[in-house]
Amino acid sequence: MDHLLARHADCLFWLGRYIERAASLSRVLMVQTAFDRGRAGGAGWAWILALYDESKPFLERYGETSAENVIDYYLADREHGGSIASSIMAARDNARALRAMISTDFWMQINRLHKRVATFDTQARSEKRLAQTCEKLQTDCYALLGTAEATFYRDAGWRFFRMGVEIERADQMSRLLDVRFAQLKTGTADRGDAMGDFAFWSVLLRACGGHHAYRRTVVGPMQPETVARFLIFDQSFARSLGHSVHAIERLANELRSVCYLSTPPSVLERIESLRGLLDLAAQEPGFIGHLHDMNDALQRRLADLTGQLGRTYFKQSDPEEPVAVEEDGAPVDAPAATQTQSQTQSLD
Amino acid sequence: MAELKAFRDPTEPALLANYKRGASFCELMGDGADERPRLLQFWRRLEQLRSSELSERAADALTELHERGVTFTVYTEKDEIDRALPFDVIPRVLPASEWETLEKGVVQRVAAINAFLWDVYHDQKILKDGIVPRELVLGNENFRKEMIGVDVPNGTYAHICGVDLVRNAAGQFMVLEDNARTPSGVSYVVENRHLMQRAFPDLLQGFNVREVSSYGQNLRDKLLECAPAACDDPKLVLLSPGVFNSAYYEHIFLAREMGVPLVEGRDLVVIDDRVFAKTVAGLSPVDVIYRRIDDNFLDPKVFNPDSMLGVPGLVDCMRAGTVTIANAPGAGVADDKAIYAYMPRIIDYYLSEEAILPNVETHICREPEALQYTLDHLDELVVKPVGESGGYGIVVGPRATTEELEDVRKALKEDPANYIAQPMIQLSVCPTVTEEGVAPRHVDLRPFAVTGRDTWVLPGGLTRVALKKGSIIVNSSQGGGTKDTWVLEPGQSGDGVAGA
Repeated sequence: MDHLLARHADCLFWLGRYIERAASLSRVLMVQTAFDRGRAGGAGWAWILALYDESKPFLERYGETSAENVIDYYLADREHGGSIASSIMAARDNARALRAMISTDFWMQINRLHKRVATFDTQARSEKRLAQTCEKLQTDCYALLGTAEATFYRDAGWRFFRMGVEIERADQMSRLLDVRFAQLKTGTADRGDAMGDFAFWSVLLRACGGHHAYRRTVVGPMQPETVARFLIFDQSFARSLGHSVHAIERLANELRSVCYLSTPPSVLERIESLRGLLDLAAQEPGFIGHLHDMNDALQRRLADLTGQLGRTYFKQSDPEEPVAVEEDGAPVDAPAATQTQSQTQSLD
Repeated sequence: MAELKAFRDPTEPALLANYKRGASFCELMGDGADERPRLLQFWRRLEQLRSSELSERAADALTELHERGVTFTVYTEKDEIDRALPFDVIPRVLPASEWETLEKGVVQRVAAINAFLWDVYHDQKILKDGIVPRELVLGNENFRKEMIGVDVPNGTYAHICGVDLVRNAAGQFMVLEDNARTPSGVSYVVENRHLMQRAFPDLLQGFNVREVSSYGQNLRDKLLECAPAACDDPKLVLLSPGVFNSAYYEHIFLAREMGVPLVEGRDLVVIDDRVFAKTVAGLSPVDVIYRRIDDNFLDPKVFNPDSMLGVPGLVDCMRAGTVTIANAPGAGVADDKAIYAYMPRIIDYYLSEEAILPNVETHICREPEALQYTLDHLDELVVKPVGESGGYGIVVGPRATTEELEDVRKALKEDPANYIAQPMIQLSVCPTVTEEGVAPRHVDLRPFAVTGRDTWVLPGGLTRVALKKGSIIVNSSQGGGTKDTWVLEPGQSGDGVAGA
């Protein structure tokens, strides 16, 4: 048994996803706080719900789309699987199942973060403190990723962990790129200004830490199209879609070349289709007009890849559940809802 | 010792100035017959510490345990709470000569236990010869008929064995209980030492204390010695019930120390009498399983059918000889509290030796004379239910209320076979940090023995301490803590034993 347990690989993958998800959610809330500032009447919070396609469950639970409610729903609500608190909990559950493999430093780090998230007080949740809370959360998530980088053993498990981070990062970046669409859909932005103004894209850039890098690379006035292209295609920007997809491809290759695991065509083809999608968009002059469609397609393909990784590596070996091989590559139809998985078991 | 002196407040009394050991044997001071402390060198070292400093450093040590996650987990309906087992920073020290006897005694005991288990699952000679009552073994709930006729490698059933020892007022070590199923606590032995090394390097300095960190390596070696004969590169895994088990930290610790995967039942599958682990590269054979789940949950096909923790078909594999399970199913029949009473006779029967470590005198209440004696002396005896562990259900006669005594009298009459009774042992004490300064608290000792072709004993073992004043129940569930246990290397000067 020289190979990684399938369950541990699964846990590592989702550990990576949940940490990245918590960081990304903080980023989305940060966009809102910056965006909302100084506008008469506020831009409203409904678009965040649209972005994650969660208006219905939210309204069922809270009734009213107030700032306070939306913040609670995404920051602290442990009943809501898509909240930052739930993401951190889920990350820690996975880490707990992995404790024999991960470093003590990492476990200590995630415990500290978990402890703080579990004890968010009203002040941390308040609208005026939200920016600080989110910024701190984001830094903590970076620290966690950094601890992993500095301490994890570089076996197949590391690749699955990174794969989780990159897939989630791409998924969340594409959602962030869709903010404008969500705002238009919910009437929280002016229709005459379909692609958003300078201020909007500037906020987006800052939210994902790309503002300075953008300034360094792109000369001239800030255009929606140039910002979008930077966030999507710039290979040197660590949060760009292009960078993530490239990383996913590299990790899959390392599974084969470094870890001696087979990477079947079913996995490689799905990664190629991700890259194909970006290549196609890059060549299309008016692609910004189809940004939402591209995001939609990208999220479907990421979900599809996740499903295939699961079938190939995480659950394949159970003879009780024979694996149905999908020939046509039809994705599991869950494009909008965020995928979730937690590694908890029920007591006997 | 300059470092220690720097902390000294001249107005503060010496650490042990007000220490009174009471009527018990003291691990540090001895039985008081001699004016000099039993462990003179260590006593001198402690005298250089001050209580305020000690408490401060002790608090830091405990925080560290928490941060590092050296905890057991208590689950309530809503939350999970990670607790660190209370740790007392004043070590319990065993001189080399004393340890030598203990080690021999433990090795002897484990040899007898394994011989007994082999016999009861094969020829049952000891039953035929009438040494141990037949119904006590065959009617025992831990006797597994599935094990009859199974040849385990090296004849080893109890690969990991914990022997609970106490010391009476005369300083004599005695066996209180054997643990031949899944004894726990060894992670604390190693972690406690690491903690002492970090928090009290000055206390350890100059003492030649035998190391404990090789436990994982020795455990791994011994377990691999018991791999099925047909295997040349055996694969070992540690089988845990999972994150909800209160000893989950220990499972993590052992898997790490041995460098083997920590698996759960759902990670294993049986195909054609062979056990496999589900890995990212497919099914991978497993040859030796160190399981930390009880017999009952091991294999739903054979034992508890509702168990979700085990692996269906595991016992068939063991019977087919394709996998070694440590400890072997059915090993628990040897550590039963009722069988315990026969251990001196069991040792004599198989090894033709006298027990090096005596038993505590035990009245088996299933025997009418013993029952009568117990009922007549209830207020002097400790009554224990045979099937329980963790210190539950024990009634300490001399400390019990009239009501408690009446309850146990009734229970004894209703189901005498469920009880044994022992005289109350005045457990030895060890100086311990308490709210009232350093005071004596009762301790026991659980050495850990691992057996493959032969037996290796971890130097020292787990010292548990009853933190409640006067209490003799050391179990963690009943307010017990632990101490680092030092076994001194033989022949070092200043061994510390009076007169040595």
